[in-house]
Amino acid sequence: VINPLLAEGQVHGGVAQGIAQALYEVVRYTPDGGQPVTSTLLDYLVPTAPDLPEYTAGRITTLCPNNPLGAKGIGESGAVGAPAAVVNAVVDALAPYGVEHVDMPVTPEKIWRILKEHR
Amino acid sequence: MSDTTTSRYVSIRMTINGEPSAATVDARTLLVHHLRENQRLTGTHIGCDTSNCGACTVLLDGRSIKSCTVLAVQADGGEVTTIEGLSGPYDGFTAVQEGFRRCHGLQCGYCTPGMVMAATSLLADNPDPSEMEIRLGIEGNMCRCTGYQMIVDSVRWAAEHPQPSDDVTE
Repeated sequence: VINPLLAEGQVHGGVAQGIAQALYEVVRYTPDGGQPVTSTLLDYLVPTAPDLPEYTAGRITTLCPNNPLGAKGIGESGAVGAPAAVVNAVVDALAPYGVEHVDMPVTPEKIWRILKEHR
Repeated sequence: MSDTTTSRYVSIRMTINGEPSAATVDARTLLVHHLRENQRLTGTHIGCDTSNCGACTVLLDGRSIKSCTVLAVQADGGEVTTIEGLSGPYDGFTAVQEGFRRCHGLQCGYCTPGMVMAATSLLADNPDPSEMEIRLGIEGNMCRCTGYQMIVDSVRWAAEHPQPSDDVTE
């Protein structure tokens, strides 16, 4: 790892985006005309500092086999794992209700509807 | 120019980064546009224009404000500090700026001027904030890159090192 501090920063940012994708962020269009109704940051919830946890980042370093240097990018790779981790945790918590899948973002309203349906 | 047109313009005086400043502005001019376009202080950024993102945060009479939500005429008689007006004991940088440098508190840098101003205001109110107090203090400022932890670390570093000391090394 060329710059461990920058690499960790990229992972933090990626995890944050992944958590946000799992819980908050969605772009909606009207079903008939395809008009975007998510048009400002009032409609699109980007998390701020109190919405996100503190992270502990670990690292397994492997060389890339496809180039002579073995180098690869880090760019926000945390964004790949975080949505699955968060959504799977929600699905696991809802397993007693027979839930096997919840579409992202997992909003409070969706959880409320699932619990209401399965009561 | 007709009277109805000229009456929309207002003469204002304020102190910007310690310097007296007089201007005649369209009454509807936002403070952020006055700073960026009339004063050419482009360190203050515009992220959303809807007071959500905090990129335009400056200090007005020592308190942090979102300058896209304040009219220039509302700052008449006031004292405005922008990111360009900060200076401190760390080679000219304040402890907050130095904290951001050391702790990797920025990636793309777009939110950084606003974050630094919000953190400066926070530490003026609360010189020894907890992690959650820092998170709540910068709640009005969005960052897409960092996930906030290193920004929180930066502000905490600034709280712990208001002045350079011998035990602070590169």
